[in-house]
Amino acid sequence: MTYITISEKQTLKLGEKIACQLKGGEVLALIGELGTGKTVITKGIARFLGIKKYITSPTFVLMKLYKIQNSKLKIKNFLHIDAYRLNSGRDLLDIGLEDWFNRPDTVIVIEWAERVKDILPKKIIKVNLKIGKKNNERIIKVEFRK
Amino acid sequence: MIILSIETSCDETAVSLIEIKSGKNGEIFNILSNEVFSQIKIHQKYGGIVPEVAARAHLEKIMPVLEKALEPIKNKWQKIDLIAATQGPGLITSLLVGWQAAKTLSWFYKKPLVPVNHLAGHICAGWLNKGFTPTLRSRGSDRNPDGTVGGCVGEFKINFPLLALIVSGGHTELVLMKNHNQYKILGQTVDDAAGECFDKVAKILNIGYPGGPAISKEAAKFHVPCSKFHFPRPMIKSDDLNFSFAGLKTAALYKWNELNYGAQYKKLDKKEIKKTIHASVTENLIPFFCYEAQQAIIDVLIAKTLKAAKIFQPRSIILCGGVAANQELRRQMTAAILKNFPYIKFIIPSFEFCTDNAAMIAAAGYFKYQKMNARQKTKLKNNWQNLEPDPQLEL
Repeated sequence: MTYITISEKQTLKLGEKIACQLKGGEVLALIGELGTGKTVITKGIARFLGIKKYITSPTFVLMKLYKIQNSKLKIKNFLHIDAYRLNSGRDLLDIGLEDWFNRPDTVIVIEWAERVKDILPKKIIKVNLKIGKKNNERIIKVEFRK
Repeated sequence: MIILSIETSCDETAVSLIEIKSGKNGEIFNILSNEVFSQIKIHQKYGGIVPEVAARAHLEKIMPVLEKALEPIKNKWQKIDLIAATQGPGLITSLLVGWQAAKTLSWFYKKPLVPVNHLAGHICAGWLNKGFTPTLRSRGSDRNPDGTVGGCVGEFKINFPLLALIVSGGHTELVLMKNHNQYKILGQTVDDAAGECFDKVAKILNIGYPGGPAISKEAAKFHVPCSKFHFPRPMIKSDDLNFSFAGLKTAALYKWNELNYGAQYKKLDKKEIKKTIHASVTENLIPFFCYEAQQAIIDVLIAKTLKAAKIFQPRSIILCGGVAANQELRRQMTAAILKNFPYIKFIIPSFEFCTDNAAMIAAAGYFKYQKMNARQKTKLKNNWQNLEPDPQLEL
């Protein structure tokens, strides 16, 4: 499914829309250049899951964990990963990412996922982001791979 | 009291030994040793810190750095009263090495272990100012008598409430302290940290890592503001005290592409872009581009600090963290505070205490220890058994 958004607000909304289909245990792979809106999508997802803390960039620490306190949701953990600085997925295994894969109470979002292809599970939700021709336009392709 | 401190939250292996005495204006921190091994050179080729590489380098260096730091007391452990170590926030693989070393030493030599928050350390670096002889500086000048920028305006005593701006590669936070160990976060970045923005802009321009020093070096070649283009000052007029730097990076990226490839760049594919790149434009443009990017970051940092000072009326302000080593930021922040709040004391730690170091961890550990009651103090002996590092530790 391909979406075209024309503002940051719309991209955020799209994030929320993606999030409402999540059941837990998913890995979202966000692929796109600098400034295409990966973090904005992530913020939208986090907002839908009821995370009130600021979703700040995990570029520096690579991985940030947010606890979800919503008794209506099965999803309890939201893991935000940024592979911007990495050349392979090994670095993510070093900081303990493996423990979080295949957990039905956890949703994982990986920015710059193309850099850590080697460790991605088979079942992922692929989100491709591109800058459109007009200002602030973004072309966003969402693929559910099963 | 003598404190041994260990800091390995990121890419610096640091161990320090500090003697604390009481003086007329509060504590005097006598720095016996302040050893830092920086891994910047190791990480340069990767354009950033690689966790596994950092952990290995920490492991290699922790013992030699520790031994060097212990030289002033000739390895006489009975002289050490307390061990302070960074518990977080930071990179977990790096934190583990220093924390494990601290735990082992605490268990083996039966010394109390105080866990310290890295950000508290950055703020407490203010008390270490210029070691134990702070440079006094006449008002109105932004330089110390020795020509360096930094130090302290007015007599050296930090009064509460203290407003702290912590800026580094991983943090941009405004913190209010009503007293020691009382931290209230007034504002923070909602996306990227200021130092991260420096790194990312440097990466767009391809001028090297770490981005902060690379950008300020280029920016220094350019002195006159130019009217060609301006970057946005994100959130500079927002009602809160939060920061945002992700949009600035995006604006820089757009502008850079447009300047190099013309307004048509969006329609070109990558191969065509490489063909049309204009070498002479690039060369002349980099200093100006860096100047403008740096100025945008500095403007926002200053505006929000002044705003916080106006609302909370602190008696002291401190600028700290790795980005506080930026000369232009030091100069402009000093000028802005002297102009708007001449009655507020303004402190910038000297360079060696802005970037990551262990001495600041000792200072923060000391203040934490001072506020503890006897029961809490005895419990510190068992910390090696039950405390783990926390990469997301909050202030």
